[in-house]
Amino acid sequence: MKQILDGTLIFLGILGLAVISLFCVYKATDETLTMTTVYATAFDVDNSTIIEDSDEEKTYIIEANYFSNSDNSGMEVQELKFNYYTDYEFNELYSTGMQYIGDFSDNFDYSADFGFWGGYTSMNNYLDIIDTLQYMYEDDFIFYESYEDASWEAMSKLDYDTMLIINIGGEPYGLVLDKTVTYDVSSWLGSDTYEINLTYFDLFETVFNSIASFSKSYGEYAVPFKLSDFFTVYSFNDGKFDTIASTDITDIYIEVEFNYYEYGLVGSTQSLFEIVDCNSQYGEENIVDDYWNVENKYTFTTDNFSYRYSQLNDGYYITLNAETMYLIENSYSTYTILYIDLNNSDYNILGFDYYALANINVNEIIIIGNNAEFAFLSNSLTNSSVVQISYSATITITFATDSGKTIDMGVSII
Amino acid sequence: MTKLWHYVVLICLIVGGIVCGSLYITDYTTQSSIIGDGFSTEYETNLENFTYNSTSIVFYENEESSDYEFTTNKDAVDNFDGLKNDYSLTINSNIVNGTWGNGYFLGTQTYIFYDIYGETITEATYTISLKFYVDKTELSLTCEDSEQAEYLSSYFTNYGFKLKIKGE
Repeated sequence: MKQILDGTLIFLGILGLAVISLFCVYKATDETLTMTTVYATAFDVDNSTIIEDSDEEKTYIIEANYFSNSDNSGMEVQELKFNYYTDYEFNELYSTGMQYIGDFSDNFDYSADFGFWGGYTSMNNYLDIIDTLQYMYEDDFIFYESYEDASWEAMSKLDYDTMLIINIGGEPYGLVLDKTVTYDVSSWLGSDTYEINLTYFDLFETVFNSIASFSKSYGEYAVPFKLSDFFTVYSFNDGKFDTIASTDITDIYIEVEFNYYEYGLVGSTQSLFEIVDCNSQYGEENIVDDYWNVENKYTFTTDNFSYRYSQLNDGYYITLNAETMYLIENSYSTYTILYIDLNNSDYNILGFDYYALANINVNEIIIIGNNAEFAFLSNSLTNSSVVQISYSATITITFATDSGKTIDMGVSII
Repeated sequence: MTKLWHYVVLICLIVGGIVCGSLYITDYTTQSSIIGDGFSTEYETNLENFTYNSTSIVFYENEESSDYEFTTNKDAVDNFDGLKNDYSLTINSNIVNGTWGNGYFLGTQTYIFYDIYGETITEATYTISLKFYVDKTELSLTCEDSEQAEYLSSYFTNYGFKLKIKGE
């Protein structure tokens, strides 16, 4: 009897040693639980609605900037900006946003080392801890806010529970980020499903993961984003917000504007918030600001003229073509030069035709050539704004008496 | 006595095994999940609606060419016909002097910067290239040196860069 008892104890002792050893190996090789999620979106879903603003220069509800710095030209930065109203009468546009220096996906997961003996005793306990961990990312972000036309200011954190009110066709809609995601969890005892609340950090990760995997690569695009994965959408009825009937709409999309750059951020003006890491002057030390006025300079050549053949003089008189006239007439703050190179023309150019530059906003004429004659026919300069005519020394310039040339027009040899 | 500590060790191993086994059983693993397929790429825009607005055009040095470039992509346009050659491209309401081809536009623009006395400080010239591919539209601005790049970036920050295409 004693031998049976001793044998049983020895067997159980060896079994206990084996279990302890297995547990130590398990803990040593898998001491953390990882829950990494990619919440991308799908577009081709039936019964979906795209919410969009019809204004030409619309304000997107969500904007994203991603300076990937793949070419090591600056700093890797990710930014997510929300534009919305705080009341259903759209009194003032309010914007908030999140800025992350680096790639958030390198940091984003719900892994946790709870110690050798485990800080949790059940899955529910673990999920409670995850709920807390979701907000541990706050310290890694910089948050900004701005009221319409006001400058951006840093804030300590976003108001996660606030309702984002947006204007769709003049009607107010409310967005609340309160959706959950379901996990299938398995153990030796079986499997179960659990729900975890989504946060703005999940949204941030999702948007930038989708951008990084966007098939068109770098660029600036407006694309549909499945809003209803994250937000509950409310319509405004009888003075209060109600959820949109799910029987009518299963998925709701908005257009997200995102900018995905190969290069890195080098100056605060590139930021959606015009601030980088709380510094509004980041990279702006050498920006030039010593000018007062800027003009658009146009230089037109013989390609910009139409030609009229003169049998009498066996040559061509030129007039600005219709396309160039249209360009000049529809441009502003310009300084326009006509550069006539007689040596590099397929035509024997004799001069400006009748009314060639009449009433045209041209500032300067330069005529280049060798041993040639160049004529300004009647009214070729009438009411033009020419202030300077320059020509090569070997060219002979002639003005018709009624060419329209005034004493304010300087004429000089180059 | 010798036997006694044998029993103690065995009992400790048994108790330890029970504790470790129960902890192992209450330990769980979780599964990653993927929902959906990413952003859609189905979008195209009409040429008449093609615009590009920015106040942060920054030119980066191209180490191969030593030029300074700003390049980005936009949605594809679905009705461009370069052979018609009756489009006009404007930047800040001014038409850019350039050439339209089968699937591209290539033009140049020069700005004169004046000081407060009306004297010219400098001129900055850039080439603008638009290439209309099947799945995207590529916009490139290129200038030759860093001084021009600085003045152009400053100009676009102050005045904006508003590109539009009009069909006549």
